Amino acid sequence: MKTDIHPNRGTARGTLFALYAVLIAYALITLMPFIWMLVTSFKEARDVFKLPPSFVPTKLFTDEPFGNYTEIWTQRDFVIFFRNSAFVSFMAAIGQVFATSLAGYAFARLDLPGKNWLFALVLVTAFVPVEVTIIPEFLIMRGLGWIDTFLPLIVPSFLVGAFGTFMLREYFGSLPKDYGDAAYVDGATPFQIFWKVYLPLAQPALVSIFVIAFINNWDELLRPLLFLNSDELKTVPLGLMSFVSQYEASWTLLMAGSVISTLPLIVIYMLTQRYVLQGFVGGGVKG
Amino acid sequence: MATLQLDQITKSFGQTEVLHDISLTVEDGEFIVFVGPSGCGKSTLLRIIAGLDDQTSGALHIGGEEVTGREPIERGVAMVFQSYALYPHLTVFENIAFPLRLQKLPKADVNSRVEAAAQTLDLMDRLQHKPSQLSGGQRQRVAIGRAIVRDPKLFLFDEPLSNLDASLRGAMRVELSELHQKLRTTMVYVTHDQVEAMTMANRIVVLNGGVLEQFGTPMELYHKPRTRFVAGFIGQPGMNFFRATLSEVTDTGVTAIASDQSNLTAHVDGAGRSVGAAVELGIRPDDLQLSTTGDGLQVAVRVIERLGASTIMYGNLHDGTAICAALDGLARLSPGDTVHLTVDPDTVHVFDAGGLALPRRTAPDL
Repeated sequence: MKTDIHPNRGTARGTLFALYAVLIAYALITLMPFIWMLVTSFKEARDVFKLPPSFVPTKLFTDEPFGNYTEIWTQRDFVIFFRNSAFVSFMAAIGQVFATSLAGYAFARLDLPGKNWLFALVLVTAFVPVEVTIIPEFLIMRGLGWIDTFLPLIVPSFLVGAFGTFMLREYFGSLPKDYGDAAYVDGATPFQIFWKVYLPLAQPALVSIFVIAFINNWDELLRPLLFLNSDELKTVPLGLMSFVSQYEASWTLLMAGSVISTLPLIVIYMLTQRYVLQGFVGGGVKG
Repeated sequence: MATLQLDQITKSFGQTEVLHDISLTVEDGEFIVFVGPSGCGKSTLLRIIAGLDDQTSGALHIGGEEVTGREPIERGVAMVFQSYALYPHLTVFENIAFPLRLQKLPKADVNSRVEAAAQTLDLMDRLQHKPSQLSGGQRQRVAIGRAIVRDPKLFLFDEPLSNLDASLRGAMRVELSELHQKLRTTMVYVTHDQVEAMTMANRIVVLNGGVLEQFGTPMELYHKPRTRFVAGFIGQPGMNFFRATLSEVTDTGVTAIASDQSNLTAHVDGAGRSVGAAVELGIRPDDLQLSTTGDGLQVAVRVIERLGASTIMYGNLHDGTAICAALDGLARLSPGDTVHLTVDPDTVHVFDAGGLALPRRTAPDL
């Protein structure tokens, strides 16, 4: 007589099926706004609020299937917004990598009196809402004469970053201390130990910081709204705002602009996904 | 090449003193091993010599120069770490070249010195590999290469073989000894493995609880241990100890009654010792022989280990005291047997209540 050596196989398959069903449902709910955004960007303006709602991209079946995209790219200043956002986000992300790698390394590896207190102070800044600090920040930037320039959006990133400092402190702290000791015995200065030994090993965490900072700055609305006045300095979020006015909204253009503004983030994340995951997992260095 | 001199080195962490008044002199070209159990302070002492930690008090001289407070690079030391500390993002070539690049040596000079080190260590075909692509022994050799390429005055090794498996450890011991014979540079080597210490060292520093117990050649430590700790730490299998009471003190030695009531004579200097004093007798397993006459210590055999050339016997005296003997490889023994073991009085060690050895009268000429 043949006996079933896996009596629980049927139950396990049922559990797996239920799990996949829940995950697929969750994925659909999560993706729905993006799908709606994409579909709307390919609709005629009159079809946006049609009832019952339709997922049919009506503009795709006209003479100008990419008309919404063509319009925002050619007739609006979206290229300029895009370029401005790319510049500001890139510089601010570089600033975050610069500031937080130095601070994270110092907190993790250097013997500084009171460094734990200082680190606690840096961490506290992460819990202060931006609405609390934005007015003093505005006054400082105005005092420096930096209003209507990119400097208020870039320079602070070179000075502080609580999340990145915390993340890199943990990352540097997880790397073997022997690396630094070995380099020190071989004649390296503290900065050379940072630059030649530990910084290259922190590449995954640095990429994570860069990506997170880039995305945050790309999506930033409040600061550009306060600090930038000229049309030629506007960033993508400000540009998207221009599609919505007090009396009317160009929803199809807004959605097309939103799709375009999301694409760089998706591309960056896909290119750096491996590093980002490693960065969050920690400093598992094989050597 | 350089001498190393430690003068009354102490090290404290807060209120806890972990090294107590360590003084010793290492001669030029010697291979010195610091050995002791975990937490005895041997790695701390090595880090102080390297300049990675500062001593709390005392002075340190390398090559006759006081180096206290100097940077490691100014001391002329190179160090090999237990973890190898190879930089994972650099190739073998770049790892070995790392200290030379810090010195900003010309490229041709860097290349020739790295290649010379790689040839010495048989790493020529691995120069473009990353450390993760190497075996444990190869990584160890890269770490040594990074040290020798600097041509230092003093090599420091911090338990460099402890991450290797037993067979590789044996092979690397031989390689390190050959390297020392070739370079003739002063080397200080830390290990907790007394076999490594005995096989590689010109002289051994035995540390226990931050105290220097004894500093001498492997044979001195084996045959003339100054303390019970050294006697027990050095030698494999470890020395047998029996609590005993002195029953006779003569010009030639002492006789003691062991805990199993057997009388054992030891040819040691018992001057100043009185009958009735509590002592501890120490007998190395190698010094015990099977009695053919039924004399000597009566032992109930518990476990037999056949090693081929020798047979290790574990048993108990009739009062339960454990005893180990290293006997002839062909000794006919089985667990459960009762045997008698004899010992030459010349080889019996005696330790007083403070753990200090009574000087042996007839130790071999070392």
